[in-house]
Parts: sequence; C-alpha cells; structure tokens
Amino acid sequence: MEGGGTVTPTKLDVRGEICPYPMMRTVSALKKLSRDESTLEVVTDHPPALETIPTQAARLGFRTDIEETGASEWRIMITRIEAGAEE
Amino acid sequence: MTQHRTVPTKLLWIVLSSIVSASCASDRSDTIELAAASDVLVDTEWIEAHADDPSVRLLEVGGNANAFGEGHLPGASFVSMGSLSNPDDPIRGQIATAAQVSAALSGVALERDQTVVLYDRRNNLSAARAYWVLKYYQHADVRIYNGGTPKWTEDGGMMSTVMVEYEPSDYQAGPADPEIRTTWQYVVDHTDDPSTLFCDTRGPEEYLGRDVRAERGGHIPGAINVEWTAAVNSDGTFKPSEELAALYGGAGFTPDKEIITYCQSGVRGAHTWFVLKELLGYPSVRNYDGSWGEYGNNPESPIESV
Repeated sequence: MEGGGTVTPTKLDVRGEICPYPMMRTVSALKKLSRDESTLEVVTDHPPALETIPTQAARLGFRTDIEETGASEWRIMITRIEAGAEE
Repeated sequence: MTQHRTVPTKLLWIVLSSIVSASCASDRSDTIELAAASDVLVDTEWIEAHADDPSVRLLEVGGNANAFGEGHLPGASFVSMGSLSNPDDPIRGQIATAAQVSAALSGVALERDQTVVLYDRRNNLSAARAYWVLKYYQHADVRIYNGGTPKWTEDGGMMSTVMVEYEPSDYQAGPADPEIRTTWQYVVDHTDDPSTLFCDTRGPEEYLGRDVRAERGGHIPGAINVEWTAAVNSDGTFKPSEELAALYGGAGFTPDKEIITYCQSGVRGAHTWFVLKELLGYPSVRNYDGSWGEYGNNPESPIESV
C-alpha cells in the first residue's frame, strides 16, 4: 500500500495453474486482503478461470475487469465494491 | 526394470466383479471381466532406469516455463497446458485441435513411436488431463510419473536446470478417439439412459448448486458426486487400485455401465476418467470436456439442484 491515494494492487500470478486452482488461490487471496486493500491483480493463462474467478469474486463483493495481455494470457483486476456503491 | 503396477488384475477383477454382482442383485452372469489395467503409472526407479533411453520422453505439464527453468526432472521438456487447449473454441479450455496438439508436441521434438511420461507439480491433475489429450489423439504409449516433482524430491532425486535442446519434429496427431470424449448433446440424450452413469468430480458445494460457477448451479440429473480428490493420497499420488475400486464401486459406478465424468472445465473430469479407464480398466468411460462451463450456461440443459 502507498499513501497519497495511489494504491498498488496485490498481485497473484497463477500462470500454469489449471482448474480449479486459479480460482481457489484467488479466493484465498481475496479473503486475506486487509480492509484497506481494495484491489487484487491476478495473472492467468487458463481460459476457464476467466469465468470462475469473476463469479467467485462477485460472491465475495468484488468486481472484475479482464484484459488480455498476450497470447492466451490475461490480467484480471479485482476491485472491492464499496458498500452503497453502484456497480 | 521395475515398474509401478496397479493392483494385480486377478484381485481387481474379484473386487469389481463382486461390486457388480452386489449392485445388480443378480447372479454372477451379470459380471464382466475387465481388461487388465495398463502399466500406465511409473515410479522413481523406472524414471531413473530409463534416464538414457532415447525411446522415452519425459514431459513436464502444468506449472509454467519459469518454474520449469528453475528446476525440473533431468532430461525433461516443458509443455504448457495452454498449448493443449483450443483458444479459438467459444467454450473456454476445450481440448486443442489435432493441428494445435501437433504443433505443441513438434515443439518438443516428440515422435509418435516414443513413450511419453507425463508429470506435474501437484496431484497428477495436469498430467492426467494431458494424458487424456494425448490418448484422444491416439498416441500409443503414454504414462504418468505418479506423484510428479514432489515425489521426485521426496525420493531424493535432484532437480536439473539444464534445458535440453531439440530440433523440432514433425509430430502428427492421430485421429481423434470419439470413445473417450463426449458432447453436450450426447450428455442430454443420455440423462435418462439407465446404462449411463454421470460422475460429478467437483466439490460437493458445486454439485449441490451452492457454489455456482456458471449461469446456473447444480448437477446433471442423476449424477453421483465423487470429488476427484477422493482418489488422491496426501502426497498427491493416486490411491492404490483396490481402494479406488472400492471407492467408485461403492458409489455405484460399475464397469457394466458407460460412465461420463465431468467437472467445471474437463480437467478434474479427466483425472477421474484416468482413474476409471486406465487404473481400474472400466471399458467405457468418457470425459465431458465442456463440463459445467458449457452445461450450466446452456438454458436448455436439464439440471438438478437442492
């Protein structure tokens, strides 16, 4: 974490992991985020994780944005939905 | 040469035939004789004995290239799981096409007449999925090093950082074997077929529809839930075949039935497919590659949930 309003997301690299581990490790990391951490960045090369991770993140109160960063590789930015905030 | 063998065929036949007899509640004419389980699992001693055998190729699957570079079994080559899936298929994670598999295996200079030994870094999960892919394209001799890197280091093996260089080969995948894979339509057509059983290899919360990873949660009607991890020892190796026979037979999976395994994306399903088809010798087992990622997102799929 940095001060002054700039937040460095916690990163999780699950490249090479296949179902169900990318999602399981992501859920574990989300549950370990402290209250002042609002973002987790996940890097994956397993396509099914693009569906399972957002689904589980939503259940835990996070929204996800997926960006393809290379051939069969994606960055999933997972951000905590603040109470009362509109999605 | 020593080789890890599955349970002696006679013992396996006795265990399974008694299960079939009990489940069918009929005379012994209902039993069927299983084909001998293949010698598909190899151990550390076997790996060491074939270290200089040019007819044997050791392939690490799962994990990633960085981890492979930091240490792998001596002589191994790396094949990513991504290269064995089809990025162009709208169902995420589906098996790669023959051309894609050919390209991936040519890249590690594999020849079709070589023995392939697959290993991974956790629970044989990636190895079993890759095994299913190679058998789908009918590579003749495929095996799994039971336990992968954890077992190797536990047995005192040294990890290597030497990257073996090969000239690419012209590997040509064989024709697809439709008997070990199935589709959404086939699944739906067989939900009421008493000769077909569905093995849901996901966790119980997914099976019950409480952990939903698609548009809808639940399971294929009539499916029986045996999570894939039930077949795994604490060290990541497969349980002994007699335990596996009791596990799946006790759950109702008998070799006289056709069995369709599935999970979320066909990976855990491939692990259980390997157990039933290759370790226990069940004659008719298919992995539903689309699994819940396809089935649960199709509004026309019949579903059971709590």
